[in-house]
Amino acid sequence: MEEHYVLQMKNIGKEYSGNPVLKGIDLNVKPGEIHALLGENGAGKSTLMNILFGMPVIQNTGGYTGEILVEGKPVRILSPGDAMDLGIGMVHQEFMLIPGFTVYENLKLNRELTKANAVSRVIGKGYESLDLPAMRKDTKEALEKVGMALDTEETVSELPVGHMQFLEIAREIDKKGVRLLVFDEPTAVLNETEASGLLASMKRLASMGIAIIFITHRLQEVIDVCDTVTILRDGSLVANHPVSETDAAGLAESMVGRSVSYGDISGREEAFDDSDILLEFQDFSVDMPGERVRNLNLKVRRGEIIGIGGLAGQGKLGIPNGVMGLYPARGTVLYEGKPLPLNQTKKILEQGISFLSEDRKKIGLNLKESIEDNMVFSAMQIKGEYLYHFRLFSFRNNKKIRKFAEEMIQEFDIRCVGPGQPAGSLSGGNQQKVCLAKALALNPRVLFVSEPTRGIDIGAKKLVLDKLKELSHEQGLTIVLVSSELQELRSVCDRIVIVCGGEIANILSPREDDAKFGLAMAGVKEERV
Amino acid sequence: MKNKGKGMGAFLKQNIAAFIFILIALICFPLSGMKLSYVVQQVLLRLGQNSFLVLALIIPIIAGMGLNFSITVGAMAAQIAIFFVTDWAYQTGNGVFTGFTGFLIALVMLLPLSVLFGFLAGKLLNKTKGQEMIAGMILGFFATGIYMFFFLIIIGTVIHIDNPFLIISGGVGVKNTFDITISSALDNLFNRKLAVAGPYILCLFTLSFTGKINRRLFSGKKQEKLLSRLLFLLGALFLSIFLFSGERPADVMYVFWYLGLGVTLLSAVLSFVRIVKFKMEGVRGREVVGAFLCLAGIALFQALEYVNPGSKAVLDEIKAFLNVRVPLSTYLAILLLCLFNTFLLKTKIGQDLRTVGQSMSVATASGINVNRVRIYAIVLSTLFAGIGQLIYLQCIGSVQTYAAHNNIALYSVAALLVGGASITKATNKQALFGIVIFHTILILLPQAVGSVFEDAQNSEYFRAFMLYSVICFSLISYAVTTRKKRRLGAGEELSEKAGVSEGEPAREITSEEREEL
Repeated sequence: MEEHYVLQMKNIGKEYSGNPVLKGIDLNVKPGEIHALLGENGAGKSTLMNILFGMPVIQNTGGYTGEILVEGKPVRILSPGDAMDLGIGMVHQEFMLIPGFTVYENLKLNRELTKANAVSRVIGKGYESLDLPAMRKDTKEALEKVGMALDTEETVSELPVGHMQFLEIAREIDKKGVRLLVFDEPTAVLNETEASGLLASMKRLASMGIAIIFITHRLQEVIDVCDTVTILRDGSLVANHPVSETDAAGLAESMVGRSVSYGDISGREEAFDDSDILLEFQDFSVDMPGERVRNLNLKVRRGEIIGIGGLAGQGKLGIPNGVMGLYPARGTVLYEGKPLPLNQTKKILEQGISFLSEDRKKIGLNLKESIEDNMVFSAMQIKGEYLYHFRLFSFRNNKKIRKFAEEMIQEFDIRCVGPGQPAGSLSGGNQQKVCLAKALALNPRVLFVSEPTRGIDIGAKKLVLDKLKELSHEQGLTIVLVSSELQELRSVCDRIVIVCGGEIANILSPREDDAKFGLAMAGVKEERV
Repeated sequence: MKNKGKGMGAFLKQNIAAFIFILIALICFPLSGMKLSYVVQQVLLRLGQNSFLVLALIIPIIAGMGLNFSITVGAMAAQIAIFFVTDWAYQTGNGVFTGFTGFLIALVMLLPLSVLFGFLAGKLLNKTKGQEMIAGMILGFFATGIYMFFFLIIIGTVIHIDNPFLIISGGVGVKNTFDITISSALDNLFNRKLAVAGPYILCLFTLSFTGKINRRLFSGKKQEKLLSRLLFLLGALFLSIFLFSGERPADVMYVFWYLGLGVTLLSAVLSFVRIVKFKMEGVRGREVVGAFLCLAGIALFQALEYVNPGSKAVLDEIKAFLNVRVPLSTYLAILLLCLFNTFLLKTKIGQDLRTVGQSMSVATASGINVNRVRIYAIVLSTLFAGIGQLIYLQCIGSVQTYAAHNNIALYSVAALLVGGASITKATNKQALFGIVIFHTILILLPQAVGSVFEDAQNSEYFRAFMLYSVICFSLISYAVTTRKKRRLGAGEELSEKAGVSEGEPAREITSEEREEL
């Protein structure tokens, strides 16, 4: 008996200017199944989905080879409109929502319900009035289907990030005859509670008979909700089997093609005590929207890796951003016993405090500049290094810059054409490595690292984390590591601070039980337990 | 707005620029030594002249294309149309090409021309996404070159026109200035003195404001919509009958004027009842204030009719004031454009325009043809600008062949900005208010400065200075406030999450666009 498939992609191939990025990919999705699509960054997932959606970038670069069948019928998808007509919907990684519009306007974007009026009867359909009550009604229904009660009049810019994701899903559901939904890393920007809500919602949709293609970096989610998994590596298909036949380690192994073990804990909690304090926060508050810090008191010991964890929106990102003066901060921070000039980024950098931002595209890098310039930019500005100094002016020392950049490229295994390549053309993981090199070019004594592995693949992740570990363990650098991935914090940190509501909920050893971390994240303080 | 005081404060803060301009006008007025009747006459005239051009800027702003400096090409289309209509009028001696029929012929000629020009401009602006404003401005200069080539060289060499009124004596090229045969064609179609038109307009506004307040009284009734509009329609009917009954209506016709006034007062009384009955719930402050001001204005007009001050000078001034002509037919055209703008935003196309204006990438992903929508916006804008220039020129009465379009875009943009619009947000109200206040200052300031420095020669300099400083000031204040909003807005969000948030910039844009403008 032949199996019934919603979507079959057969022997898909794609080249970008002679460079094959997809080679003979097959993807078969059954109705009502959640199908995981895994792969490192650059493995070809996005390209495959772009083909499925008929994105203009595919047509503009010469189209694709192979065959796509929807419900067993061969189709040619040439524009996103075609895909929508076939009942294929996409929940984007970057929100395709308009912040200034209300919930219902966004949900009905370009599918507005209209009523004929006098003008439209004469001139044409485009002049039909919007039928706002009907749009609101549909919106309510669609939101109910995904299990989210939202005020339809709310402006999207005022919604929490988690709700926006649901709104995106509701929009896809609202489309008539949708049978296949693609989720492109929907959980990347969500905290753990929101993510589990989303997964529950996906399961509900699948039970309604809608097939789901789920792209993610979080392997545990695949194990938890998916039925089948397809894994891509470097544009080729490496695995395609039911999830029940494998486990997280197996998945990770087939993704990167080497066994990964960053789960082992390297904490040195015995090695440090409060006798040698490098950095001390006293009643430290930061006005970072959505990540506010309130009267934080914390001592950072010289040479340790201290992790800061907690759910999104609880203030963990506010700490490094506040120290570096990117958001207004109050209170005192003692550095080597002397108060830091808060809110003056340049002076703080001059004292040897360096920062690897969570927002590498906006704050971390100048995407249009070359790798080497990005690496040494801060060092030139702050320390006056990599320059020939004359009396009145200075010149770039290109030789020295090139040498440093090449060393770093070698050391971090940055995949690039050369030091002159624009940073924007690198993949996420490689960009992060450039950021790290940039922070290190300042020869810092304290390094604040914020979400170093966000949106980068497992291989790069391991390299970045190992490098951080090495810097601390071998060179004695003090590192404050902020991350929303607890696993990551536990694998490298010596102590882990969990913040909740802008305050410290608990300071834990990485070897502590999961339960304790969970309680701290939920804001339950030690004493009260 | 729960907290009245806070609401007022926010209102003042948001409209700070407008208040500064009003203040300047108030300071300039006594300094200039001009008569009020003259200023009012000039402002009413210029409101008719310029509104269409300024209103033409709104749609591209909503489509996220900023201030459309390329309306210059629409103005050129109008000048080409007028040139040919004038030529035919001279050549044929046919009365069809003069007066209002000539105006209509020019309008018909203008349509395909401005749509074509607008299409080309839209194509260009689609290639320069993100730099529409500067590209539009340069396009205007470039188009001026082609336009001049046409009038200087093509006419006479390729197109032979033998018309001593229009062509330079050598036979090649059009004269620098020519008088048009459709001068004041639209303005003269229907106008009334201020003593009649003023109360008429104010009554309609009162009816509109109070009608909105009164809506609550009829809520739940079967014919809710009709009932709430009944008084407005009735009042407008009576008043219009009176208005159309001629320059010097028969005594019988005054019955309709008093009927209309009576309906207006009835509507106002109903509003009072409604406010007593349901409190201020669901009432907007500005509707109440607006109704009050309009009623006060009507009373003022009535008082002026019968007042008898001792001095003759004051009496003359009052008479001059009441006798100012108001070009109601032009105003009707402007009203229609305002209504069209409002209507458009409530349609599917309007929603597409707004979506593209907010985010091109999201619009693309949701299947909207962004380029087409943007071209549509520019075509409409160019078309309206063309009509606007036609109205402007018929009012001036002559065409400066090579210069009439030059500063059109700048003056329109400045007026819009003075009204409180920005490069991302503009409404009909802002456009109309901006024209009134900008032109008041433009009339007063040179005189005021001239009398202070006792040198009238500086006035042109001050006019230009004023124009550019207004644009510059508005653009800077826009940049500063958006940056502040971004910084503060995000911060406040947390602290005021529970309460009614007050500084929601984004929502305001959308809801205000929706509101009847």
